[in-house]
Amino acid sequence: MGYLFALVMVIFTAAGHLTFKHFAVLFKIQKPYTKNIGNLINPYFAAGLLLFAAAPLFYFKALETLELSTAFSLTAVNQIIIPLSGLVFFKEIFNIKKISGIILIAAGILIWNI
Amino acid sequence: MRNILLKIRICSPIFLIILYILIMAAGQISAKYGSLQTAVSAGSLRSSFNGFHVLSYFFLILRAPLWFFILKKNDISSAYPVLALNYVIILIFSALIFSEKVTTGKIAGSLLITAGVLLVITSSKISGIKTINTGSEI
Repeated sequence: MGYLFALVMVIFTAAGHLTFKHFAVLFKIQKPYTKNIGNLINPYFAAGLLLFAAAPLFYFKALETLELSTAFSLTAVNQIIIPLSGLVFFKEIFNIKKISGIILIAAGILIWNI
Repeated sequence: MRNILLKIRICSPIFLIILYILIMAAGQISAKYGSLQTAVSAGSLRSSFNGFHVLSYFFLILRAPLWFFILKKNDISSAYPVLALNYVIILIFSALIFSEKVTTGKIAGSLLITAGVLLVITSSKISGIKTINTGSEI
């Protein structure tokens, strides 16, 4: 059950970053800057904030049964999911160097948490 | 001429991301600092929240718009992996400020993360090298 909560946390964090990225790309900065405040009322911005706010709640639930090092090392999954989503949803450029870097980082986080 | 170069370099994506990571680390350090103080006077709800916790929220609000500008101009697949440097910075600060134990696993993990981040940075435009070259042509 703890793993399920942790999985929801991971998915919510990834989804939060992706909606925020989508919002940032679409957002057109206007002058004077005060005009931008109204533009913050945006479904993607709201969804991103909600996801970011809800993710820790699932993390706290996961921590009830999982050990901290187990739960925390699951954040390494995000290091794989989020860049991959960049490739799938935003058609970002990938090369061998970037992929090996991402794998090294995820492995590093796993070892860091042991 | 030198001023132009410096300006471009400061605005380069990697500088903004490192600034973001430092603010993130500052938030975590102040949260820990606050919790160390409340742990002494544990009990009532009022004593479980103090000025350092407020400060950590301040850092959270401060870094949000910075992340917005980073994501606006850069690939999320290049910018997000760099945030893993936070693990390395937290390891250094937790040892320096809170005298926490530094294990071999944490050092090995940090080295792997640093190597991975360097690979990601050099594989993409976030290093800002391209921007600096454009600047020198002016």
